[in-house]
Amino acid sequence: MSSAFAVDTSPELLAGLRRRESAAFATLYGLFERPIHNLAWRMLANREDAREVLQDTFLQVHMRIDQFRGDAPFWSWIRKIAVNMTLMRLRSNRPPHGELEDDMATEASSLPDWIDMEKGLAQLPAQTRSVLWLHLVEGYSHEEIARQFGRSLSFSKSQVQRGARRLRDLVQTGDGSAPQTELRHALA
Amino acid sequence: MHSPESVALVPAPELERLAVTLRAMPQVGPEESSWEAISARLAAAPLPARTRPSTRSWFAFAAAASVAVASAWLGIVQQDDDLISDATRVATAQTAVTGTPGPGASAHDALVARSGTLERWLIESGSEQWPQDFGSASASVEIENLIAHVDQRLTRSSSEAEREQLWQRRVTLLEQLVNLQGEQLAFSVPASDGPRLL
Repeated sequence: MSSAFAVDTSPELLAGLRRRESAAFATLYGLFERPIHNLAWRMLANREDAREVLQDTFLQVHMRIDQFRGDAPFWSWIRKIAVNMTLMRLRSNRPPHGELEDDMATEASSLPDWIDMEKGLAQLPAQTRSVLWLHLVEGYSHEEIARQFGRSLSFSKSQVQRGARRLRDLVQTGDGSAPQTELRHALA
Repeated sequence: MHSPESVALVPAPELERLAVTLRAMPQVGPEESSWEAISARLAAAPLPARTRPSTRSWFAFAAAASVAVASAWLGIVQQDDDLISDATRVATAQTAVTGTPGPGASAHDALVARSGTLERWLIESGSEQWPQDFGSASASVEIENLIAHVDQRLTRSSSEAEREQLWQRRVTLLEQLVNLQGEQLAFSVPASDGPRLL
C-alpha cells in the first residue's frame, strides 16, 4: 500500500530546509499541503482544526528539521509530526465524538460521489475514526497506534473492528450512489 | 459459545477491501492556500529547539511570567508565591504599570488570567515529573514548542487584536497540555491526590 505522504524529497530540498530557506518551505508546502490537510480532516472532521494542523506541522518542521537524521524517508518523518499535531487537537476540549454538525458532515455535499461515506465517517467517534484511518489508510500497525495513543494493543484492534462495523452499518443504510454500491460490495 | 464481539468480527479481507475504498476517497485540501499564513509564522518563528535553552526551562520561565502578569493585572498577587523569580516580579510590575488595558481589555484579561490558572496547575501539579508514554511525551514537547512560539510572537506584537488572538491560542495550547498531562495523572495517582484545576 502507498500513503499519500509517500513523496520523494531531494537532498537539495532538505539542505534548503535546514538553511530555513523560504523557497524550500514553499516547495515543501506544495508537496505536502494536501496529504497533511487530508489526514487532519479525516481524523478531526473539522476544517478550522485541519487548517491549524497544517500550519502547526510546518512550524514544527521549521523548528525541528535539524533533528531529521535521514534514517527513514522524509515523508514518514513529516507524517509523524502531522499525526502528532492532529492527535494533540483530538485530545483538546472538543467533544469526543464526530457529531453530525462537524464540517465533514455538513460539507459532504461538496463531494457528491462520496456523500454517504463522508457522512458515515463523520458519525464515527473521533477516536475510532482516527484509529481506523491511521491503520487502514496510513498503514500504521496496531503497535504504533497503541504507542501514539498511549493505550494497549487491544485498544487499537477493537477500535478498528468497531469502526469498520459501524461504517458498514451506516453505509448499508446509505442512498445507493455508485461508490456506496462499491463499498457495500467491499464490505459484503 | 461466541461472545457478541467475536461474532461480529470483521474478517481481514473485508478490512482490506474497506482500506482500498477509503484510500480511493478524494483527498481534501484546504479551501484556500495557507502558505501566506504559514510563511508569516515561519518568518516569526523562534530559533530551532536545539539552539535554545531547554524547552522545559523556557516554558517554566514563560509560565511564571504569565502567572505573574495575570495576577498583577487582577490585583491578586500572592505574597507566598515562590514560583515567581524576583526578576520576573520586576518585569511584571513594569508591565502592569505601563500596560493600559484597551476597550477590549476584559476578554484579554480573562485570557491572561485563564492562561495563568492553567500554568499554575501545570507547575503545582509537578506534571513534568510524571511518567509519560512516548506519544504523550512527544506531544507535550510539541505543545510546549508551540507555546514558546506564541510567546515569541507576543513579545513582538503591538496589535491589541493580534495579542488577543495569541492569548487565545496560548490558552488553547495550555488546555491541550493540561488535558494531556491530566490523562497521565489519572493513570499514575489516585484521583484524590491530584491537583485541582479551578
